[in-house]
Amino acid sequence: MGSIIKATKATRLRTITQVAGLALFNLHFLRLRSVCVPILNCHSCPLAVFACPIGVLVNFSALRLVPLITLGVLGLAGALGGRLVCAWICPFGVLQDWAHKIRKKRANLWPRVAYLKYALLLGLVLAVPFLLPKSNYTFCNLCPAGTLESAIPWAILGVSSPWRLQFALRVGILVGTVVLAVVVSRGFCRVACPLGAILGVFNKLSLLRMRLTKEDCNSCGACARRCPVGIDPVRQINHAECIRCLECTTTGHLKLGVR
Amino acid sequence: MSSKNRPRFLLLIVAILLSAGLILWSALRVRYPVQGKPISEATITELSLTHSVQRAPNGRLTIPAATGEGKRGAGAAEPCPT
Repeated sequence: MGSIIKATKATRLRTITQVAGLALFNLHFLRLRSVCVPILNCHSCPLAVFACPIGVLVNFSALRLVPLITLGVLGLAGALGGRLVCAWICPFGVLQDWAHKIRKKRANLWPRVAYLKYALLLGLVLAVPFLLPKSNYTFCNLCPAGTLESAIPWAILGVSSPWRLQFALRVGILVGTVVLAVVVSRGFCRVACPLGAILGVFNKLSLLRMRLTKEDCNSCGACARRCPVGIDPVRQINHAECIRCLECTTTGHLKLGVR
Repeated sequence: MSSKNRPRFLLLIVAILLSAGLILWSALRVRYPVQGKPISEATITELSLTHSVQRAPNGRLTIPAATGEGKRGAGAAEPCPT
C-alpha cells in the first residue's frame, strides 16, 4: 500500500496535531482521569484531562496490582502505530521539538544510552514502587514532564512548597532535560522516556509502519541526516527509536504505509 | 505477504486482540475488594492518582480517608504527588 500522508503535508500537519494534543489533553473542565492515554502528560497537572500511563503503572506497582486497562491501551496504541503518538501528539515531545529549534545543529548521542530508558522502566517505574511503595524516588517523583506540568504549577499556586531538596532535584532534572533537548533532538525521548521504551517494542510489528522503496534509494544518507532521533531509516527501518515523524519521507524513498 | 511478514502479522493480530480483551475483561469483570466493596479498575485508577487508596499492613486495599487515617478524601481535587 502507498504512502498515507505526503511529507510536506506531514510536517505542517504534525505541528497542528502536536499543538492540538497539548491543548486537548489539558482542558481542565473535562476530567476523565480514570482513563489513561498513551502520552506523557502528568495527571497531577492542574489542567490535565487524562491519567498518565506511566503514573498509573507506578501507582499500581505500589498497590501491587496489574493495570489491565492501561496495558490494554498501551498495547492497542503500540500495535496500531508503534511510537507514532510520540511524534504526533505527546505534549512533552512538542516542548522538546520547540527547545531544539534554539540550536539547529544536531549532536550525536552514543546509541547505547538509549538502553537507559529500559532500565528506568524496570527500575523506577516498576521495581522501586513495588518494593518500596512509599518511596519518594519513583519515576513520577523525578519525571521532568511532571515537574513542568505539576510540581512547578502547584508551587506557583502555593499548594506545595518549593523550598525542599526534592523540588530542587526535580527542577535540576527538568533543566538538564531542556538543555539535552536543545543540544540533542528529542533527547529525553531517546534516553529516558519509559513510555517510548514500551511503545518502541511494537515498532517492528505495528499496523502503521515505514516502508522503503529500494529502487528509489541512492544511499545518499539524506534521510538519516533529517531523522530527529538519529537513526538511519534505510538500514534501521522501523527501529525501536523511530517515532514515525515522517521527516525522512521528504527524500521520496520512504513512506508511511499500512502493513 | 512474504513468509517473513506472516508471523509478524499474526503477532500483530494477537497483540490487538489481547489488548482489546484486557480492556473489556477489566471493564466488565474485574472488581477489587476495597473495604468490603467491589470497585472497578477505573475507580482504583482515579483513587490511586490522589493516593487515596493504599495497601494496609494486612495486605488489603483500603481508603485511609474513609477510616479517618488519611489527610485527603477519595477523589480529592488535589492530586499532586510532590
